[in-house]
Amino acid sequence: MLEVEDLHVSYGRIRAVQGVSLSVPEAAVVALIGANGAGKSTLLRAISGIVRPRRGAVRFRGENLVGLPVHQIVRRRVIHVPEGRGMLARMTVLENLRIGGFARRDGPSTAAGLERVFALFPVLEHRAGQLAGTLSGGEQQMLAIGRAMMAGPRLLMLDEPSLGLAPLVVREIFRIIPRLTAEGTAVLLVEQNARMALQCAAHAYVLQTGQVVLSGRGADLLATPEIQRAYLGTGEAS
Amino acid sequence: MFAQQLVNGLMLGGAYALVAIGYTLIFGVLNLLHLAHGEVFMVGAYVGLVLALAGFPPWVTLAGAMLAAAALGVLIERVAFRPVRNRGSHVTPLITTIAVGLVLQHVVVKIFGAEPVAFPAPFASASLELGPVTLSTLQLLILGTSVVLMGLLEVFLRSTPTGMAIRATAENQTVAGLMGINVSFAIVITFAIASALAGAAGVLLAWNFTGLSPFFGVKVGLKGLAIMLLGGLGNVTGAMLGGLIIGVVEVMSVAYLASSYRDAFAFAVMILILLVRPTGLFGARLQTG
Ligand SMILES: Nc1ncnc2c1ncn2[C@@H]1O[C@H](COP(=O)(O)OP(=O)(O)OP(=O)(O)O)[C@@H](O)[C@H]1O
Ligand SMILES: [Mg+2]
Repeated sequence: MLEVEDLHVSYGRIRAVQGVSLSVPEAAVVALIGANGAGKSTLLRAISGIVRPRRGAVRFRGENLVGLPVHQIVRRRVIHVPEGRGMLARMTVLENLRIGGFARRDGPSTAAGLERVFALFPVLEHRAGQLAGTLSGGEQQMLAIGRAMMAGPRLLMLDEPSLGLAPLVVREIFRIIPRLTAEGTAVLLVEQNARMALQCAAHAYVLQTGQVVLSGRGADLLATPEIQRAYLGTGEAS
Repeated sequence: MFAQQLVNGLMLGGAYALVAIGYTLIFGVLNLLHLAHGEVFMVGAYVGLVLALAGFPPWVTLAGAMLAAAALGVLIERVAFRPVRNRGSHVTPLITTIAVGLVLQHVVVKIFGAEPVAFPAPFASASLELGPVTLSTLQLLILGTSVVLMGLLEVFLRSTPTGMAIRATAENQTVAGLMGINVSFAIVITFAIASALAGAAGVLLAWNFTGLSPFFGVKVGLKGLAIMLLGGLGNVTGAMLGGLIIGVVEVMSVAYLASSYRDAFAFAVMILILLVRPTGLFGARLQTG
C-alpha cells in the first residue's frame, strides 16, 4: 500500500535520510527503529509532506505523494501523529477530536467517530471540555491517536507514541494497534522502545544514520544478536 | 454626563476594537505585523464614501466597504506576505506592508485629493432619550454594528469548521496541516475577515466623525496596534475589551480634561497598563475567551 523508494531528505547540508526504501502492506504493522538522529522522524515527515525529499518517491496506492501539499496527503487518509503528539494545546479535547475529523468530509458522521474514540479511551470523554494542554502525557498521546482515528486512516504513522510514558500507559496505547489493523488500517510505527515495537510488528526496518541497515520479520529481529546488543540490551525500557 | 460619555466612549471603542481584532487575527495566524492594516481601514472608508455619495442605503455602504477591504486584504497577503513568508526575517513583512500602505495613501490622494472630505450622514438621525443618556439613532447603528460583528466573529471562531481551522492554524501551522487543514487557505480567509472588519470600522468612524482623509488610517491604525498589545498578542477577546477601554478613556479625557490631549492620554494609559502587565490585560495565550 505504501512504497518508499530511494528517498533522500536533507536539511540544508545535513543529510538526514539517505536512500531509504521500505514498504508497508495493507493492514500490516511495520516498525521502524533506530537510535537518536537516525532519521526516523524525518522519514515520516517526508511521507506526510512536511518536508520535501531531495530525491526518491513515496507511492501510496500507486500514486506518488511527493510534491503534494500536506493537507492533500491527509485527504488520502495518510495520517501522521508527530513526535511530541502535536497537541492543539489551547483548544479543548473535543475540539481537537473534531478537527481530526476535518480530513474526512465524506465518511461516517463525527458523532460516530467520537463514540468510537470515547469507547477506546473513556478518559477522553471525561476530559472533553478541558484544554488539551492541561492533559497528562499519557492522555495527550491517547488524544493524539484518537484524533488520528477521527480521520479514518488508511495508513497511520505513529512517531514514538511511548515517549516519556509509564509502562502501564504504554501498554494501554499499544493495545489499540491490533484493533486498528483489524479494521484495515496499516500502521507505520517509529519507536525507540524497540522490544515493544518488534513484538507487535509483522515487519521491521532498522535505520542508522539515514540508511536501512537491517530489515526482517519483527520476531526474527528480536532474536538477532546485533539487535539485542544495540537496541534491547541496556537503557531501553522493556 | 458620565453615563452619556460612557456610551460615547463605547461607540468609539467598538470601532477601534474592530481594527484591533484585525491586527490580532493576522498576528495570531502568522506571528507577523500587518502595517498596512490602517490603510485597509482607510480605503474601506473611501469605498463607503463613494457608495454613500452614489445614494446607496447605509447597509450597502457598509457591506460594500467590507467587501472591498476584504479583497484588498487578500491582495496584500498575496503581494506583501506570501512571497516572504517562511523566508527572510520577521522584519521583511514590516517593510513590505509599510510600502503597500504608502502606495495606498498615494493612490487615494491621487483620486480624492489630500484634503479631508465630508462623509454624508446615512440618514436624518433622531435622538432617543434613555434616562440620563441621549442616543442618536446613528450612534445606535454604529455601536450596534460593531457589537454584532464582534459577536458574529466569536461564534465563527468558536463553532464553525473554518473558524476552528483558523484557530488551529494560529496555534501550530504544521499540526494544522496534519489535520487536513489547507493552511494557506486559512491564512487567506483570516486576511479577508480581518480586513472586512477594518473596512466596517472605516465606515463607522467616518459616520462618527462625519469626514475622512487619506491619512485617516495612520492614527487609527496605530491605535489598533496598541490596543492589540493592550489586549494581549493574538487574543481576540482581549482586543475587543481593549478597544472598548481605549474608546472610553479617550472620550472621558476629552470630556474631563483637554480635548487636544485625547490621543496622548489614550496612549499614556496603554503604556501604563503595559508597564504593569507586559503581556497585556488578558495575556497572550488564548485565541478567544
Ligand atoms: N529541522 C531540522 N533542521 C536541521 N536538521 C535537522 C532538523 N530535524 C532533524 N535534523 C537532523 O536530521 C537528523 C535526523 O533527525 P530525525 O529527527 O529524523 O531523527 P530521529 O531518528 O527521529 O531521532 P529521535 O529518535 O531522536 O527522534 C539528525 O541529525 C537531526 O539533527
Ligand atoms: Mg524522531
